Amino acid sequence: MNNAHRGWFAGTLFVALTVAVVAPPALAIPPDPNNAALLYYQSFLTLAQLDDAARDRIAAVARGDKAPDKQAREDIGKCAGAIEFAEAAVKVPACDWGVRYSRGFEALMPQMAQMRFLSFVLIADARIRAADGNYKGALERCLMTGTFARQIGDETFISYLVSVGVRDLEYKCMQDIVGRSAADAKLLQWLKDELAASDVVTLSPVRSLKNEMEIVSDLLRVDNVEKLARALAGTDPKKAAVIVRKADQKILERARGLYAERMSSALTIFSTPMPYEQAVAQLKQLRDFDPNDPSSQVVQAFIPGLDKIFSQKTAIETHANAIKAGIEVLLSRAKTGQLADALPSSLPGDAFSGKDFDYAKTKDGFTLRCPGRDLDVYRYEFKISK
Amino acid sequence: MKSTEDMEKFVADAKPHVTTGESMDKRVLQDSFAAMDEKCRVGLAPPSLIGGLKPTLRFAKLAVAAAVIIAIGVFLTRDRQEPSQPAPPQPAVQAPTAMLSMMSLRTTYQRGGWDALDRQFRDTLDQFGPVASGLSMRQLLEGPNGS
Repeated sequence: MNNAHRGWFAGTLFVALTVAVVAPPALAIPPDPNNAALLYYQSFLTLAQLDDAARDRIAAVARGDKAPDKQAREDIGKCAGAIEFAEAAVKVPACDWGVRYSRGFEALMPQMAQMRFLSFVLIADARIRAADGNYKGALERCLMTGTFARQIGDETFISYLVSVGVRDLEYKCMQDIVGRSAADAKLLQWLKDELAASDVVTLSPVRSLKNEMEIVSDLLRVDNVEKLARALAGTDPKKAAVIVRKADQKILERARGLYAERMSSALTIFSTPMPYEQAVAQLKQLRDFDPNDPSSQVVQAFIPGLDKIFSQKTAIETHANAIKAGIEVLLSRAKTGQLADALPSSLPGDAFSGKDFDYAKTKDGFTLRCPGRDLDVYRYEFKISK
Repeated sequence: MKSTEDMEKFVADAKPHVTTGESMDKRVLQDSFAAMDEKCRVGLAPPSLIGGLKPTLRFAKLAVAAAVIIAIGVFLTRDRQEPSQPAPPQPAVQAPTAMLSMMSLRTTYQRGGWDALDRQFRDTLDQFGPVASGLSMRQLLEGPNGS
């Protein structure tokens, strides 16, 4: 080895040793999941095996129909592991539930029922915290449930609907808690900011509509006629056989055209601002079909209850707005020391009418009501603790 | 001799390979009565009660006879119908997981709205879980003897 080679060797050795000493050691353990769904699935696995009565107790507490008693606290205590996994899951931005979309309508979605139950557990836990006077902790649990609802997603109508159901539960709980923490302006301001930040991600049935269009367009092809028959006939083999026999190229092609036309109209209605009643009337019309036309009958089976979905979309937006408006009323009360006589201006309003909520002071606090709607579901009550 | 339990089992099993007929019916009836007489004779009930039970026993005999005849009649009728009438097509057995499919959930919502969907979720939990093992990593690694 000559001097040049010796120098090169020494230099290389020096660099290698330096890197080995300076560089951080390789991680000894693999990282935690970067897909929130994996943590949620573990949460579902650790939800306690509770009987009907216990599940009903949890649901009643979550809905605010029943105060959390000792038994309900014990039930929720058994779900501590599931809650811990959910706490970790909401911190992971990406969430892929692993639905096998290639199976079309035959794709199984066992996670939906578990999601619903987990939301009851989380909100029941929030109500227990509130009952113990821990309003911040309770609101944190509500916000966490809101993140969970967004992670449920809107890839399918079912996931969208479950997400709406979970948010509704979250808002009801929040509505009950904010009145109780009315004296804490700092907490109200924090909640207002958190809600504004979470508004960045919004779910919409439009995405579900687009995905369904892909699934159904694929189904309405002669190559997939057996799959189509299974989707339409379920487990009735006679009915399935009739569909396979009768569904020819011509019928399916016409059905595809008709379906695309109706769903495109639905997409336009969902995406265009217009009065609620007008949108619902137009969506209902999309489900009018000729009973004697086989293509129409096939399409009818695949057009979802668009007006119902639109109604739920509007209702959840209205509830979200009511919470935001309610917080503003309470913040104003915290500043002035008394409830305003009229609703402060520029507040989020009723999504059904596009107008401001009807505001009324009550013995215990105040109510916000959707104008022109008498049913109690359109009335949001905020009770203020003395 | 067949005991009453044997007779009941015989009727319940409805053994298809047994050729039934008038003589068979008579033999079954005789066996039934003999079994009941035997039961009373060997003193399954206190002796003082046997006398009081006699009229009831007669009714019981008639009732058992009627039940056996009806049961045999039902089986014979059914057996006779089977070869001549093809069984109606049975719906394919629905896998329990069918209630979890996207189509099933969509249809439920379509028909009954959110409340119906919520009920289906509840039924799903009844059927499939959650299944909590409640086992920690340490417990999972424990040997059968807790080591």
